[in-house]
Amino acid sequence: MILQRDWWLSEAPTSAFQARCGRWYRMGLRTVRSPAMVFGLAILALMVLSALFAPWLAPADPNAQDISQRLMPPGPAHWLGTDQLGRDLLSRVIYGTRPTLLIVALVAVLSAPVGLLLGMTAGYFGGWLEAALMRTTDVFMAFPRLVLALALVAVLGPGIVNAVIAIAITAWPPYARIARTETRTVKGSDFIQAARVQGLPNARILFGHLLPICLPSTVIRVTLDMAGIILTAAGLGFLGLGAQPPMSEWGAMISTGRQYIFDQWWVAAVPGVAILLGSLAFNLVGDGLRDVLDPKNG
Amino acid sequence: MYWTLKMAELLIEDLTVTYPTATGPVDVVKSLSLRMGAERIGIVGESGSGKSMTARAVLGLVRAPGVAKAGRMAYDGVDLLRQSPASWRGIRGRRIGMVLQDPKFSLNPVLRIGRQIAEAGLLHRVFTPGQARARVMAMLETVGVDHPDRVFDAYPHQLSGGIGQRVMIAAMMIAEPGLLIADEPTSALDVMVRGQVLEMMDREIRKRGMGLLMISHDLKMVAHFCDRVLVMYQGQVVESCAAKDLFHSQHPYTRGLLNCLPTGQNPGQVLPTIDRKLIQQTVSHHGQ
Repeated sequence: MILQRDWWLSEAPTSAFQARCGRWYRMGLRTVRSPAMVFGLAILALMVLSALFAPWLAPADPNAQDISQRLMPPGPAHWLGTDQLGRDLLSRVIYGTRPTLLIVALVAVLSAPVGLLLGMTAGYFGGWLEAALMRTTDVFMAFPRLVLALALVAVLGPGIVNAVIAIAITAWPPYARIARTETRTVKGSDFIQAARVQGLPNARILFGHLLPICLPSTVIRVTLDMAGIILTAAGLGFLGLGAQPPMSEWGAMISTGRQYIFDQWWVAAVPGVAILLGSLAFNLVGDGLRDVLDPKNG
Repeated sequence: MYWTLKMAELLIEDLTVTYPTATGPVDVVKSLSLRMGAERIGIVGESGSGKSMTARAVLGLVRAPGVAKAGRMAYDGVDLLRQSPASWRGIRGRRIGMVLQDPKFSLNPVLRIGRQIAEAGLLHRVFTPGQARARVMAMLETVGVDHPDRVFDAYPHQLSGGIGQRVMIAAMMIAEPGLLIADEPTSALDVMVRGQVLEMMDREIRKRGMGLLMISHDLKMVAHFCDRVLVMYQGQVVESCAAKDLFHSQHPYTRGLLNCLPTGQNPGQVLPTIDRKLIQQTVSHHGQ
């Protein structure tokens, strides 16, 4: 029964469980129907697997130097070639997924809740609190992201953790804006009135009633932003302010490859393509998520 | 009525709600006085007559820049004019409940029904989280929902209007308030369902000895379900009478409203409208 397609797509489910399965199944079908999203998800899965199983997937130690093999073009021995110290580029790209995904995940976890909280508070309470919070947001948004992150890293010192902090501080304002707008739209609606009439305190209205409404749009925005976070992280790495050598980080790899770009193009191109695919994947998945999660686009 | 003595009493004296406008302050409710126990009182009037604002004032929900003032306003000995935001929360839902107009807009679209009904009961500690499911099921059955278990896990968009309104009434009664304010509780429902929901509401209110303040523009319904009727016009109570006398009212505004109702006796004729000049004269007399 559970193995039949009809069970999953039944219009008259016999149990709540079946109805829930059906809903997820349809959501899955809608996802699969969009080739862009499948492509994005595939790259993303590949990146996550590479990060998790890097020691088993990488053909060589990413930091093992072999000067006799330096700057080798892509070939059977080194599929993607080697860099100026004779390190295997494929292995370095595979290991490079680790700092990239780590930065992306940490920034999302740090900045999205902060943005949500500030935006919802501003939208719900209004008045001078809203003015103060949203003008602060505007100030942060007025700065180019990379420049602000650069200034912060310059103060905090280089390193992955500081890069995460710097990017997170520049990443929250869009979430605050979205959450504020969404909160303002539903704040006056009858069901918030009804909640107030029942005697619910503000905290409970905010977290119990408004948060679930603001969440989907924030999730979509975070996914779309991840592409930007990858680029910012790579930018910091390129400028030598992110991950420090000898750690294999894509931005830093491009930075060293720059010196050889006219004669040994692959040293810079390989991590460059990795960054491109990574940010493309997040963009496609974010776009697809919007189609799946947003009923207006269904 | 004998039970008014022991039941909680809502007392309003000289309630005025004022909003500032560009042309000076406007009183949307003018010196309204009301005393009610566990009885059913209807407030009728056209749009903008101050019915809903009266209800909001009782719950302390007049939004800025509006200001509510009253000589006295108390429920069950609790002074409603001197409440902090925290103590208001103990009154709203727990002592005085309010059912809003349209279930489509009054239930949170992204939360399950069961959780929304249980919320007030949990908040006011009427029952524990462990008892919540059983209590909500019982309440759903009380308000006449046929498959409580299905409705419990449903989302608002999966319910019909009638069930939705029953759910809202369940959500307001779960914390066992002594007074229920119903702001046009049935205007979003069709006639058949309206009757059923009203009968259910009437039954439960009698059973629990609750007071009901019903706000409506439906004269017939109010006359049928309430003990007393207040007729409001431009923020003033222009007439207050027993519900059974409503149709014999001599007041020009009430008469005007009654004349506007279509009946079987004048088919094909244009229905009369209210003569505002005449009413204005009477009302301003009344006010002085």
